[in-house]
Amino acid sequence: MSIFDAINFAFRSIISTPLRSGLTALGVIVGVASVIVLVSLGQGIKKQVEDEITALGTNLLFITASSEDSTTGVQGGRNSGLSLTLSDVEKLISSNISGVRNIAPQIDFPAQLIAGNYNVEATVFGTTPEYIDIISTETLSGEFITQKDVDTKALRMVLGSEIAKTLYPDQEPIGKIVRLSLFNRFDFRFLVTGVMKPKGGQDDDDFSVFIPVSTMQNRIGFLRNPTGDVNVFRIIVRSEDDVEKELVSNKISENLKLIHNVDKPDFEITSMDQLLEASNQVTGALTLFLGSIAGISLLVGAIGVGNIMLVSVTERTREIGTLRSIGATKFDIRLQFVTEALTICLLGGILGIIIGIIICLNLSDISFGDAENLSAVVTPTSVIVAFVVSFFVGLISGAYPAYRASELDPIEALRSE
Amino acid sequence: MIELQKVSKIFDTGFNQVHALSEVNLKLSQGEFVAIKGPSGSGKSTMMNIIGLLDRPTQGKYILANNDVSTMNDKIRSKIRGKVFGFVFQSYNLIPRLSAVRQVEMPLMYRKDKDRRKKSIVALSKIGLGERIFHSPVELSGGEQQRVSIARALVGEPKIILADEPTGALDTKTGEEIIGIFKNLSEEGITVIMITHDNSVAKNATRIIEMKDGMIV
Ligand SMILES: Nc1ncnc2c1ncn2[C@@H]1O[C@H](COP(=O)(O)OP(=O)(O)OP(=O)(O)O)[C@@H](O)[C@H]1O
Ligand SMILES: [Mg+2]
Repeated sequence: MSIFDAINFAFRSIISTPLRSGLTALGVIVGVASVIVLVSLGQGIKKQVEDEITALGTNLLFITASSEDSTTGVQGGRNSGLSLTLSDVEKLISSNISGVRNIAPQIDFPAQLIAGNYNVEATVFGTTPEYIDIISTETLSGEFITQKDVDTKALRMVLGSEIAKTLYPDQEPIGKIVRLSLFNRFDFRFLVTGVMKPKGGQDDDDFSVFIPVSTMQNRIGFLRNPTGDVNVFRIIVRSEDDVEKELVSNKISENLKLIHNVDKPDFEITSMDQLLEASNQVTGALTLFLGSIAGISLLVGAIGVGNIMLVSVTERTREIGTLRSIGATKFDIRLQFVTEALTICLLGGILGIIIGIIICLNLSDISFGDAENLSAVVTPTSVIVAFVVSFFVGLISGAYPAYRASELDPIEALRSE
Repeated sequence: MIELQKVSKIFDTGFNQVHALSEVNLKLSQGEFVAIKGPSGSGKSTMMNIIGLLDRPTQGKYILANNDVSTMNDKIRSKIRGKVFGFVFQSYNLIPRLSAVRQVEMPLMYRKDKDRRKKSIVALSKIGLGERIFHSPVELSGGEQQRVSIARALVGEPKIILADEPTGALDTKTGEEIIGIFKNLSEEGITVIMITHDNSVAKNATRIIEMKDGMIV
């Protein structure tokens, strides 16, 4: 018997009991569709996170105070490792480390912005002129924070694109006055000097405003530490494109250790690559987890196919005897039953893939409350894997029933009712 | 062409042993039309199944066309079975979901015969069913179903037809038509071995074998 004859015969068996075959295939359809949907969701989340990270630029290094060492050193004393300070930034800049393109401090607070009848919740970043280059963007109109603004601790502000739209829906924001209310304790009036280009997507920068770091230090007392220096939350370094990030990171580390006068670093330097790797690990595990859950439903589908094939063998015992009498070998019988299971699983698999893809395509239209819309990324790999898996599901769930069928004694089979 | 030498068959049911055949000796030559008679349980079907390679003797030798087939492996026996024998059963044993023409093609499918559609139609026409080749078993009468099963037995051009009570489920007239077909086949040189309880059926044969208690009497 050729494989084509076996497929032909399998089709005839399958369509002779359409309801039963349909329900059996349904198990596989649901299993395969859920594998596609959940794996694609995992991939979608992975891509979203990746995009958000790479949108920041891959040449960035983040220096943060190391939590581990924060209790060492003289409590409250200079270089105690408690925090990073603005003078660290200045000293790092004046060290002229090769491979470093720009260094900027970052302090951020959530605040309330009010302009006329409009108000909005925004993240306020205190930083320096270098920052605009570090986040690799430009202003849409006006200008970013200037060195003069920093030197004079000016009450000047640059708006993120979305903030500008919300506060000034039909006016040019440049030259207007924005009220900034911080922790309900501080209330300042800022002159808008620039508006940032939109970054698109859900980028945080679009929902932020930027003011000189010195203004922030000067007006908000508790940022100052006992030495009179100013704590910054993190220092961001943009390296040149063509340099080894590892090398730059090491150089910065050496310099900062000197500045802090410590042997062991009391800070951490995280590169974008490390962030990406860490996030990939998390999203990879998530995808695997989601895939495994879907795999369970596929397993249930496989058991269903195997079960129905066993029932078929029992029902068709006499037929198997007849086929043996007209010359079918054991192998022919095995081939027929395995092909039948395979056909059910592959048809179910293909339908499941199609349904899975349709669900994925419509998933991005569904939003869940305030959360960002889910996005599912159907990768060719997941489609191929789903197809191959349904092939093996058919093979495995058909194997034992087929073996049972082929090992039937032809005489016993013919005598059965 | 067929030679059974001291063939015995013992069925071990677990709690007792049934001696279905006891040292049966039998020689049949090409073109014979043999009727096997005997009471129920006398071993007729058992002997026929051994001849048709569906079963193996517990003891003794089975020589088919000068070959000892009792010790051959299952695969070779299956191939010989499909090539040399054509089975006709009392209850037709058709596959319910296949049309007559596909039904008859089945033996050729296992032999990977490319001409099977043509041969199937020829076999059905020969048996008087040329008009109903696309009917499924439920759409056919008992006599027509038995004709389909005879066409299926004939399509592979077998040397030997094995029919276990082929008229058992048919009325007298339809039965006679079926026997007529077997007679023609044996005249064409095909060996026909037929089990029957009916003396009027048996008298058509060229040779009658009586069985009792697993032995030929
Ligand atoms: N597979 C089997 N297992 C156990 N016993 C069997 C088996 N096949 C046949 N027998 C027994 O062997 C004996 C001969 O059976 P067989 O079917 O050959 O009789 P028969 O002559 O064809 O009878 P009938 O006219 O009723 O068909 C019977 O006693 C039967 O019960
Ligand atoms: Mg019998």
